[in-house]
Amino acid sequence: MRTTHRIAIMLLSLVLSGCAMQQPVEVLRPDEFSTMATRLRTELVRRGLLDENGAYEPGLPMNSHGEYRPASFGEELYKRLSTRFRMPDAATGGLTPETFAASASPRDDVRIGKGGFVMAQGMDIITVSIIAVTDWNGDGVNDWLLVCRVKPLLGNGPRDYYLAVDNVTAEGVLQPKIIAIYDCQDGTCVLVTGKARKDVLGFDPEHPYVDATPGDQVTLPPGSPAPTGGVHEDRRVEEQSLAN
Amino acid sequence: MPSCLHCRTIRVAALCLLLLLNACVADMSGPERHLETSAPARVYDDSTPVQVFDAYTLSTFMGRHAEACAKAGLTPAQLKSAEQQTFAAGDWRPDDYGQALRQRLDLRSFPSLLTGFTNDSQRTHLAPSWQTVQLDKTAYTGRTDDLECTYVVFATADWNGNGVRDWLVLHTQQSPHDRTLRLAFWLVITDPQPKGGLLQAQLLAIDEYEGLAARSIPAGEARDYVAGILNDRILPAAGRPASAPR
Repeated sequence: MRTTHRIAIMLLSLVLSGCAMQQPVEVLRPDEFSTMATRLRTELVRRGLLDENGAYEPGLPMNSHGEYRPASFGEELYKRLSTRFRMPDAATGGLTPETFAASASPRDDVRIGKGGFVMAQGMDIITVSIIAVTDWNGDGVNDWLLVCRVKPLLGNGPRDYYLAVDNVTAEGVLQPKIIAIYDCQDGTCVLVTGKARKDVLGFDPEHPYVDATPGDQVTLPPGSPAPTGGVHEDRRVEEQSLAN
Repeated sequence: MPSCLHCRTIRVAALCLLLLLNACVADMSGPERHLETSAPARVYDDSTPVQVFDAYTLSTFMGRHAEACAKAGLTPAQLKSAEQQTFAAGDWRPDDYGQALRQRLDLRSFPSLLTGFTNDSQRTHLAPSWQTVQLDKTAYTGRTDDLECTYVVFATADWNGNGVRDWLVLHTQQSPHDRTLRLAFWLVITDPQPKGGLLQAQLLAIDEYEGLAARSIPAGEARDYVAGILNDRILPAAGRPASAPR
């Protein structure tokens, strides 16, 4: 955003601050905040982060309230942000990685910046950035607004997850809520919120679990011969020798 | 020399990826640094004993990738001596490799036709569109209306030399809409852990069977090859617009 632009928004918000209840927003990534404000304008106005003209009130650093603030958001998000908003886990746990750091293999290329991180993993380039710090849920404590962008090298995409982490503390895994998904498929992009998130994700974000128990129904394709060996008969692996 | 051509493709691909990554990080405030990801702890200090499940596929594999196999300690002589070794306590050798692949293989970890039929949230065979055709101790076969996949774990050994057992897998893909084309993928599941994440596959080579013709595509050219096949044949045959970025 240009400086003149920003000054204009600041002046506008000063003028308007008298007539509307507006939450101050500390914007850390102006480009991403601008994109988010365009895509999610109604929701941001509803929550009082934007006024009806689309202007926000630049907030001050909130350290004065004794809130937790890491030295590097990039390192913090890489090590502590849960990956479970992207894919479901088994009810018993352990199917999907808990954090991005835990999901990284030595072959993945990971770059950490102050405001986020980028990792090249398999056929995807995953970027996680902090957009802003503000009181998203209106409880008087600041929350983090994030974007996780998954850009495939092959196949459909990209997909942006807009996330909110409520009342961040210094310890533990950060569990984000999905505010919205901006999903591109076959060249068309849609913004998805509310119940429709389930259709894009393929699972309920409020209950992100998948049944992975080995009650697998074997379904034969039409006209195929019966496969040799059942599903559950003797699960022990037999080893054989090349030398014989 | 073909091997030099191969090296150059990989080098160019790596450079492109590096430029792309730099562009992504450049707009973040503050300095950027490269992070060394943590490697799993060694289970074996010296050589990891080899497990053989399918001797025929392993010998085919060893013939095809002789140099890489020698580097990983997979030679007939070493296989014979490895049989006398005992397995360490921390060496994960599941009873059910097929189930592990079905539940936890990251289908977007290597270039394949699966990239056209998966997305960020539906990246394992647990996604609802997959039906299990066969599930075995060392094999899994699954299908959707648009793709059929088989996996056979034919041996396990320490492929990348970090003291942790890796799985050697022969994986095939075929579209039910275009049965003249069959693809076989030689994969290594690197450093599988019993819990806490998806299994990541490293592609060694793709074998293409087109009718009676056969050819091999090295890993360095796999991404371009798969993008072409997906856009030109597989996605249109499934009634989907070509979408794989080139």
